[in-house]
Amino acid sequence: MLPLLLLASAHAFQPTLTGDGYETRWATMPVPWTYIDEDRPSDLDEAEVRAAATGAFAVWGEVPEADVWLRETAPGAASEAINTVHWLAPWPFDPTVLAMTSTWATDDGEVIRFTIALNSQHHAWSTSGHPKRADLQNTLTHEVGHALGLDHDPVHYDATMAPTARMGETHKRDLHVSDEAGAAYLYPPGTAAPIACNSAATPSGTPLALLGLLTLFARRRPTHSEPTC
Amino acid sequence: MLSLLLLASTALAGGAPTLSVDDLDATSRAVVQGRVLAAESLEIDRMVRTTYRVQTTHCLRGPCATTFTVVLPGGRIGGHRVQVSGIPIWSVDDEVVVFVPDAGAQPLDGVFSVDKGALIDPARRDRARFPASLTGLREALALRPKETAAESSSTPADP
Repeated sequence: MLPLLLLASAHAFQPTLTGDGYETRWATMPVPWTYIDEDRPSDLDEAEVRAAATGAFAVWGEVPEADVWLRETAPGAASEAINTVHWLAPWPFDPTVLAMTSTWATDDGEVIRFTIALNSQHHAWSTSGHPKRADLQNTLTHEVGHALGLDHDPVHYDATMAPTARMGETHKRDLHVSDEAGAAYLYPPGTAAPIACNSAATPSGTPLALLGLLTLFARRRPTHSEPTC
Repeated sequence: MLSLLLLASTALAGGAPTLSVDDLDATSRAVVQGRVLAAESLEIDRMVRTTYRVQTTHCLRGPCATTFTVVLPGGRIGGHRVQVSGIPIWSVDDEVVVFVPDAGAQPLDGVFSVDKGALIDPARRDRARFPASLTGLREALALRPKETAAESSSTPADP
């Protein structure tokens, strides 16, 4: 445990910890997410918001040596969505805050849900790096890092996980080496078991050893393609 | 200068972890050490927020009420921790320190847990600028200009 902590410290990324000191991370992939198109600022259209969100999630899935797999799901009924990106107005917290990510986790750190709320009451947003507006993809890329279990980077002010952003800033759309190290630390290849597509399809008498082989095979995923089942 | 530039930036997620004791103190009308009496978490608009009732045990800088309420994002729902970066999750009987903001606002930055005299800072402020112990915080507050402390704690004079 100690060497791992030292490694984390050297790269400056910070895993989010539970009160008992457990690092928080997802145990299974893919993690589905849904954009809820409510309370959207009137000067943004839905398509450009969706594109910004898709880009923000995609960049984390492209980290070399990290087994991160985030999948957009159809909007469906908003009430059924578990992991969501949504606008919030009125904003009930500090008005200077652009966005806030909440992660639901067990006491031993397994993340089971997230919500990303965007402050549409106090801030003007853009998807093009407008110099006097907050860039949506820049902000969402940071928030997705929180959803994956990363805390603020206290050292690199140019990292995506740095705690603050300037109007018009877009460099957080691309991950800093420290952000990539954080993703690789939390999700080294083969650590996030894929969610079974249909548990009823698993024969009840299947030997555990065979299940293990199947799981290992499923984890060998060179690209982040959709599941075939 | 660096501090000013950082303050000019907008916070992402939780509070800005670059604030110092002086930064927090300057925007607070009181600094209170207390004990959590009650915590109630609710999910509203897909956001969990928790209302903590806190009993003042030490008034580090006044004026301090006997009890006060703090509403923070996150908390505990259905046996799960709902975490927001930089924001603590308190339990009943936890010892805490709160920088109570001006103008009735709810704090996001000046909220700390205390464990065996250590100040647990969920926002991971720069240790070189922020004390890691309750004793260090008390000393930092005491080192502020005397006239400021006197003004904030004095009772209004008769007209």
